[in-house]
Amino acid sequence: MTDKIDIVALGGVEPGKPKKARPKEPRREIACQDAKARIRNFSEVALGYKPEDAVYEAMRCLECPRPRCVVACPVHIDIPSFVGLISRGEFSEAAKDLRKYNTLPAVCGRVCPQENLCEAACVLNDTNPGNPVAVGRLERFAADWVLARENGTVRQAAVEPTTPFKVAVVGSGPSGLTCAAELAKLGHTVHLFEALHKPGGVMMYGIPEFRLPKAMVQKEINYVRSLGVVVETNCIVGKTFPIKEVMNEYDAIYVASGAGYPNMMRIPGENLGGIYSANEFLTRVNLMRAYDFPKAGTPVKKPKNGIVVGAGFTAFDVVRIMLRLGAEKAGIVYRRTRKEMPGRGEEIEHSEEEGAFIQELRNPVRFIGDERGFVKQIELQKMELGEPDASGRRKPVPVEGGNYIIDADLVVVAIGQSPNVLIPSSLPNLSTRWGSVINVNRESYMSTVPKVFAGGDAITGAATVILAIRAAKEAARAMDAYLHDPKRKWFPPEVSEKK
Amino acid sequence: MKLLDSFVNYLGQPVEEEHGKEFAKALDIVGASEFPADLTLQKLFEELLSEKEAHRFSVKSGFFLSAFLRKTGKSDALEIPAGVTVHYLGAFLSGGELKVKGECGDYLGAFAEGGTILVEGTVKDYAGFSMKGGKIQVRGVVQNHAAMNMESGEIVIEKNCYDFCGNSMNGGKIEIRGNAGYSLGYRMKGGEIEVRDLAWDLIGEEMKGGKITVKGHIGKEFGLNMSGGEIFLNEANKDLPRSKTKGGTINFVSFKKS
Repeated sequence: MTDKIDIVALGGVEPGKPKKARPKEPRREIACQDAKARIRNFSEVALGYKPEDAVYEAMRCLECPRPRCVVACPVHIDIPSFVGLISRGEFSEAAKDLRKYNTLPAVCGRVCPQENLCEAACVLNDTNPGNPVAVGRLERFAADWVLARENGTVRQAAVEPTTPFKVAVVGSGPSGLTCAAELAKLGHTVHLFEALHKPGGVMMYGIPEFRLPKAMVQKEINYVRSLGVVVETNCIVGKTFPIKEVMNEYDAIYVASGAGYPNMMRIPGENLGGIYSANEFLTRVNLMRAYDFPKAGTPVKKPKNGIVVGAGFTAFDVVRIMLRLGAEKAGIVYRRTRKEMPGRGEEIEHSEEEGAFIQELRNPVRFIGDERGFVKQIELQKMELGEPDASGRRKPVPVEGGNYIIDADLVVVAIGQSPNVLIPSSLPNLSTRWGSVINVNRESYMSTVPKVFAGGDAITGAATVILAIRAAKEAARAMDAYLHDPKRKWFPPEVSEKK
Repeated sequence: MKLLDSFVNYLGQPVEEEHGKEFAKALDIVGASEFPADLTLQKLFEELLSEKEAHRFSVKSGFFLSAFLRKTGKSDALEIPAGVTVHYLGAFLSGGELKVKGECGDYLGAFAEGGTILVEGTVKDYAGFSMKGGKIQVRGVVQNHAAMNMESGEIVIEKNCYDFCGNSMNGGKIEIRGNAGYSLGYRMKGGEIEVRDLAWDLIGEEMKGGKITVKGHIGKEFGLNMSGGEIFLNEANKDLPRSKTKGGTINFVSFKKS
């Protein structure tokens, strides 16, 4: 497909001439919905680049011969290559180039923490700190450009299976979709099983519409389907049918069941009404569209005073949803300081623009209920930072006598998620740690059960979309080698504890 | 039996459980075959390409070419066309020089005992796996797990190297003239890695011995769970948060620009 773009008018590289990069120009900001307007809707906040913005930003890239951004990208996308294509007006080619490395570029362009990855490594930071090439926004632009054309989805000529092997993929989140797509490209028959009624995993139930539109996720899934992958929803492997049945029917299994099991605080009052786990709250709102109740069949409590415990990606998603549900006040309670927050800088900034407050160095010690059994207050304890812990972050330590009480009629606990125990409990020989995180060989991604491979959050605990994609790509290659020569034992049968 | 017929026969056999057994099999087959004394690696490869649609082609052709090299003991050159993947090129090499142009598959120079491999192009995973001697020089990008279990020898990478470079290496030297990705020197026990510019997250993760030098920027969690060895980092990074270590040393030094 050729893009009909007047690249000279957009300030890009003239055809047949070398690129004269403009690294000293400031980084092009992305247009966003106004904060006052956006807290009244669930539409996407960041509106994306227009072609002129994308070409301007692409012209800032030096296309380094030894690009640092590529080594810092977990899936090693050839960033200078696709950015170069944008600067030459070849937007569709740029998207095609991206898809060689990443099955879900429209998703990663929106939710990947580029500021800690490719953009943090960009050489422009050396001379112009804080002004790296906006790689994520360009990735999103190129992916959206194609998805908005080609009849709403990227169609791939269906790949006919060329091998006799059948593979089952459990879970249709980013890891499952990527692994399924890679295996289908290698010529295997792939069946992907999803427990919920819609495929997409965390991209559908976890990440809100205003950050990742569900229509965009479905377009990416249609691309995977177009490769010949059969997606079966409402199938809980281990419940709908026993895992032994899957093991008998398929030559290999990839477990990408994610991290959908919420961690709770285990403090008094946590069972009161009005206290949700982040998973439940987000699933109600994102997947079941509870914000549209009663038109949608699932309700959710609409708060006056909403409090979120935790300060990761999920916590900021939740607080922003609370504000969109009409909360008069909504905020984050976090036991460390802003500096240690795992949430993305952009999300923290957007939350505060929308009116969320942040209480640092505070930790809930008790939830207090009303006479009907619903939460009405939280007792918070003041904290201070001590010595660094294993993660390198300073450990929060309680301050004696620093307790006080605040009002809250909706509390969401967003302190992390763990993998579901269903698959490990169905396979007695499956080695796990912390009860449900699957141990795999770091090179082959094979678990301790022959022909069962695993990747994504199921082997790391809750992490990022891009790390799940990396595991899936590597596992697909290892699975392909295993399928052709299952007796090959070229790696030590050792399983690792950390990916 | 003619060499191509031997290859077709070899291609149809399942891959052995171990690398060494697979190479021994290829070596036996090449040794028992008839081929003219002036046959070059390139000419042989072009003959083998007629069988490239077979599933095991990329693994078996690499072992076969490597066995041919070992048998003839000559220096040789090979150009790999785009879209063809050959793993195990130069595996078990014992001497001479192999020049390769094009994209190399996995396990380039695996178990090499001597000789030199020069590559103009990209190299995939496990380059120099369990290498015991010799030199690999790559004028391109090297992907994951380079020099895994390396015992001795030298690897020079003129561009970037991706993740797990030096995974469990025991000895030898790796010089990266560009940047390195994640987990550089993961579970490294000995030997030396030097990176001219940037190395990203998890430098020296679970490192037990050896030496890593990174002259440019670094990512997060360097030295995580390391229990031995030495890491030398640019002093510009000395204020970055430290990870938990069990031993070994992390030094911040000034590097003169070369």
